[in-house]
Amino acid sequence: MEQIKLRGIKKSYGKEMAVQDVDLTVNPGDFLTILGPSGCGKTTLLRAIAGLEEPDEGEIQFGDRIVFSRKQGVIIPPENRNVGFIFQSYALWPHMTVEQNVTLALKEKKLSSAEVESRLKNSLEMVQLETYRKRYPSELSGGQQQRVAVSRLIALQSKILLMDEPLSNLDAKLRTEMRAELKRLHRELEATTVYVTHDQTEALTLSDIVVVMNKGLVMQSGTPYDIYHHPDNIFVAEFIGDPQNNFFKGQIVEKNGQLHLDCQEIVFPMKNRYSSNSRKVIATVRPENINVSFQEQKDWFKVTLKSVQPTGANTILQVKLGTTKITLLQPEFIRMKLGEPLWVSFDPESLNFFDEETGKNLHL
Amino acid sequence: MSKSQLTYFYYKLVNRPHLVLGSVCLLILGFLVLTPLLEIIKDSLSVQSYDIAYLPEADIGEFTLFHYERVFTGPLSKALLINPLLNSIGIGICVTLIGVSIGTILAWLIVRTNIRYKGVFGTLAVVPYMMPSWVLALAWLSLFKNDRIGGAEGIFTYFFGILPPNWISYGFFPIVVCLSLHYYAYGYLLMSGALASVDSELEDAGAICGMNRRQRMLRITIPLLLPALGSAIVLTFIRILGTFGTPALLGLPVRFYTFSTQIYASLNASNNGDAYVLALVLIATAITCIWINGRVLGVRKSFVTLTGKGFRSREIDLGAWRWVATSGVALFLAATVFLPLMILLWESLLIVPGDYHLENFTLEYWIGDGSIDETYGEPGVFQSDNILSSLWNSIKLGLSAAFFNGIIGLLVGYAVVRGRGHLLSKWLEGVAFAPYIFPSIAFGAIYIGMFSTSWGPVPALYGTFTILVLITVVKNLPFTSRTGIAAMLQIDKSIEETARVQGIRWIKRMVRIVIPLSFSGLVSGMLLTFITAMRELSLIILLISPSNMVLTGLLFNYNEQDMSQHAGAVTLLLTVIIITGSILARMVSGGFGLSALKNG
Amino acid sequence: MMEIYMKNDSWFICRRFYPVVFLVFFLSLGSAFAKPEPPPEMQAWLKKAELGPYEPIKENWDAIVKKATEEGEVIVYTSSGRIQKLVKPFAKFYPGIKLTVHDLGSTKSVVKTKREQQAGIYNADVVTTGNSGQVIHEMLNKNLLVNYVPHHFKSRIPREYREPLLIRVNEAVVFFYNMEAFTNGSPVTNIWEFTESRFKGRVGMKNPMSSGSTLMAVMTLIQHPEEMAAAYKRYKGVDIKLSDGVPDAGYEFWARMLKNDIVIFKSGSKLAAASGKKGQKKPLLAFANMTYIARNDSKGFVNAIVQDLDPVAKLLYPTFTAIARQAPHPNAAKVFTAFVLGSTKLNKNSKLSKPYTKGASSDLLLGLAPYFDPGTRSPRNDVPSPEGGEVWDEMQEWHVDSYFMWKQGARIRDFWIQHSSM
Repeated sequence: MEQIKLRGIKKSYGKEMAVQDVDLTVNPGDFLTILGPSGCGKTTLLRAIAGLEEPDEGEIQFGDRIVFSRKQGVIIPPENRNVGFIFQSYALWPHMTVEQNVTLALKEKKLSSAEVESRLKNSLEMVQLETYRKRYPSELSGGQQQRVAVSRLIALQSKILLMDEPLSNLDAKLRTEMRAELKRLHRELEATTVYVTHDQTEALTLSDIVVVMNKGLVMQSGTPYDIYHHPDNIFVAEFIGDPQNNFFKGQIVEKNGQLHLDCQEIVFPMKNRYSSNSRKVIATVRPENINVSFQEQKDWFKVTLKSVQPTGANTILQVKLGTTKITLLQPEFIRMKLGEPLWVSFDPESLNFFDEETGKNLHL
Repeated sequence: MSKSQLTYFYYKLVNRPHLVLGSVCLLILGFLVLTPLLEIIKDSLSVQSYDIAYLPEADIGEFTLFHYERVFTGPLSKALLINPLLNSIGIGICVTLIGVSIGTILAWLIVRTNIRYKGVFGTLAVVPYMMPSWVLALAWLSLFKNDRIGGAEGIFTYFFGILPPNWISYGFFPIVVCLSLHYYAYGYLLMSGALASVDSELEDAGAICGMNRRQRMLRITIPLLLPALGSAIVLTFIRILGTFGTPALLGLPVRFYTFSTQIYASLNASNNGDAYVLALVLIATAITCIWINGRVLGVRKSFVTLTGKGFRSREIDLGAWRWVATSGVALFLAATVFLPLMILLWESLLIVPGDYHLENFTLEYWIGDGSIDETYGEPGVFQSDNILSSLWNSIKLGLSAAFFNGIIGLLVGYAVVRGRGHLLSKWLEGVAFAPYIFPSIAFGAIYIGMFSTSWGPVPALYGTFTILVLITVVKNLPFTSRTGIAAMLQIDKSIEETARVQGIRWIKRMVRIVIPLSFSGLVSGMLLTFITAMRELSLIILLISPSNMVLTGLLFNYNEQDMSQHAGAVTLLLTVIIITGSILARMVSGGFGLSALKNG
Repeated sequence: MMEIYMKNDSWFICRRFYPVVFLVFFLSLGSAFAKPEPPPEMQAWLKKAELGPYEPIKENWDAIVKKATEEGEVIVYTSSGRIQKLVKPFAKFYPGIKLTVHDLGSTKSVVKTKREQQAGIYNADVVTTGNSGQVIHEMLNKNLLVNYVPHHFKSRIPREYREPLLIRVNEAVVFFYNMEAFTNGSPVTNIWEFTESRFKGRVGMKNPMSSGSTLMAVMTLIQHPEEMAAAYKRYKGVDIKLSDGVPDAGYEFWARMLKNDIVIFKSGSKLAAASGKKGQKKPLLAFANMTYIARNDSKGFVNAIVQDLDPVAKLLYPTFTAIARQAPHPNAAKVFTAFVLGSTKLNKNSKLSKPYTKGASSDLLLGLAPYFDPGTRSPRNDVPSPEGGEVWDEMQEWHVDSYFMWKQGARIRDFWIQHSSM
């Protein structure tokens, strides 16, 4: 199990800065996901680790081995980095059978034919494609093709696995299945994995560490829990979470000896620990952390129902408090008529406050 | 430079095999292609030995603008430059219009409608291109010559008793007809490829918006085809400007001179000054056409991207017109393909040329042993050592040139496509295309000088078979580099990247992955080279020696000595071989390559 | 700046001199110009090959043949396709020497030789081609060729046919007419009749821009303006009126022929067929190589030669043969040169019968055999005239001087380009 270390990675294409200045450490055996909208630089970073892109500056290390260093003038070519890479399109060679697709690289490594055969058998078994040995990629379904790509990795026994949105071409059901398969693979191979996706569900379910990127910069790096519950900045708070987070802009005021966030229509109580100078703040609260009651409650806010979206296990409710829109998430299948009243309240513990100018979490 | 900077630079190179490849190709090609050009320019600006007649005081080699003044402003400029140029441009425009139209219509009928016998038509449609271009001209003369050039009667006169007027038999009209019927194949090839790639869904979208069929054709289909159409027009036009055989044959009797005949005449007289200035005008015209094409099309290099998914191509039902169209195409192909070949065959069977009575027929010229004295005792085609050895040389030349050119075209395509965006890639693309606009005859003359000495490890190549192959490869590089580029564009870079990441080195990647996947592109490039090499003459005429004599050289001699039966038989043989080669190539490439895999 | 080249008046100012000195030049071609000294490599080769200034006083022919057999090969660049026919006969007489023929046509033989030598390639042994201007002034006088006459033939070949360069055969350009159509003999007696409207589009010639022999014939007429003018006066009774920009009667003839829509041919044999084929209603008259008269036998043509034509009926066209500089097989080249001149056993009394290329006749004629026809003459004075060859001696003959050809070639080409384009 190897550690991957990136230091000071910068990459631009012409005038565009794809990666601005990224430091990243992937601990041995970790499953790290790089998550972000398209154009954020995640794929560039992944390809840089593989050696398919050359950063303008920085350093990349696998364990003790320097594979890239601008300062020292080292660029180990991808052929020698010994990583496993799954492409979004799987990149199977269409003129070769499944067997040939898996073994071509093995034969390069001068293994005995017995060894090659055993690795082939093993890897196909692990993805349940033993009977498809002699088939051509055009004769396989999307899911099967993906599994062939995976079995290539298994056969090569790489210790570092890089995956570039490998599930995005699959239908929803298959995607869920394959998610589990990939995680299992990571554990069985005892590899260090870097996974790139724009799908946060994948990121949150699969990863040990999630790195959120935007416009070439790392927005936050942490466990799925931290990312979700303690976003470092507004971007992360907004990007993570489905349905989306609720945002309330307002000002800090003192009332009755306690600090409140005054968002005009709603006033949030704050803990008195606040000591910063800023006055303009944004509060976020997750839809599922808002308390909902169908009966009138004291000191709760009354809201009107605007839309109901049952999703099976949950229901998403869009309500309005005056002019403010709020999204609620309730853990049951709710049937309600629009316009019906509801009452909501906010638990101070679940609120996050961000400086409106810097976007940073005030950690109150 | 510090050590780390050096090693960094080294690694950057190692990581970019296409860059190394591209630079090597550029250097070699630059030498092979640009040196002749530079020499042409230099010689056009310096006094040549021929000029001593006009400039008795001058030293050979000194700088002069004499040639340019003479060609552009002197009293001869009308005869040397202006009239022939206007003639060539006139022919060029007409042939391009007619030829590309025919090619497009044919392509549309065969690719997009439900016409019958598509397979047969598709194969036959390119056959006229496989025959040397002057075969049609010879056939025309056999059919329509009148008594202006005397001799035996034309076939038309033989059967109908009327003499065609001069303007039908010679000059502008027959030149345009014959060239159109030969070069429509360019238009056909380019447009059929483009038409096959236009996704029906794009047209359906138009239908949903309420466009009728005519509107869809005008507003959607045709604009999508514009890049291919533009290419077809430019390529055809440039080719016509430089074409020599047909205008010489049909123009001379009525003193209709074209640009190429003037260049050829000047070179013949060793008047290099005139010849090179004219050649440069030709090259400049060609470059202008390419530039105009680029500006008109703008950034739209190609609209026919292969997304690999959701591709449907629906046939248009011609309804009642189906049989009309089918018979129309059949008749057309019969006239342009079989008729000239029939006439050649007929001619080769006559004892006395021009006498079409049955008693005059004989197989002597095919299998005889040379007892007929008129033809200097030359035995029939299958008995003649001369012909058989020339045939073998032609095939050798064709195959070697095709093989090397295919590989080089592929490598150039690889370097250009993988290096897209860099200056090197653009230059390489340009240099690889440049030979297309050079007149062949000038190329040949200059290569004698270039290869008379050794270059490093390469010995002097003059007089060897190697130089024939070399010059044929260079002249056909425009074709193979285009097909190479097209084939490479089809291969997504991830296919190669996954191999890199798995540890497969460059050579193995090329051999096991890139080449097999671009195989059909490779083969079509090779095929084009084979066809042109087999028909080539003006390129190699100065470089061949008797031991390397090729079939076209022999043909040239037969025509000079008016041995029309042998000429006809040999031409027929040549054409049959070319056609056979093409069919074999089709069969071989049909079983491999991306297209087969997409359908398989 | 560079206006010296072609003002209209300078055309004939220079040219007027030449008819005056023409005779002098023609007779003293050999000593007319000082050739530059051959360069050292060539000197060394000349010495070894015993050629040029190093020719021995007395040749040892057997030794030469022996050396030639050791050399084993002779490579010939020729303008005439018939040389190819000599491969088998040559092999019969000299079994150890392989004859390789490059049949290139008149212009390419010169171009290829020049280009090769310029590039330092010495591939050719023998170059045989016409066009005296090019061959003598561009090649011989520039040391691309060296003249060689086998000693045993020197006495049998008149000086003017072996100096400054050996002539292999003399040919001629004449006018043909069709015997079937013109049953009363030649339709013309004066050359200017061809320029009349009744022959508009009915006269054919080879393209002088690509045919060396035709160009030479054209230039021959141009070199005799006074005779042409006199012939015109005899025909029309008045002085000739020259067209705009045409300097004299020689040029005028061709200007008028072009205006009279003379038909240009690429191939000589097609031209001969155009005038000679039987069964034509309106056959052309042809300005063609006299050698094509032989096709009356081989192809059944009915060509006849215009024998009496004012001022000239026959325009001479010699084909030279010389050894190329630094030839790789100089002795084989010498042997080949002797071969093309015919056997030493050949003399005025030899009995020769058709077909000349076979049997005893071939053994006597050797390299002359394919050329033995009424339209071609050996330079030797001891060769019998071929069957039907008396006509050659009976025709008025003109030549063109090689210096004139060389100096005026460019201008005449320009004249032709300009007038044939109108």
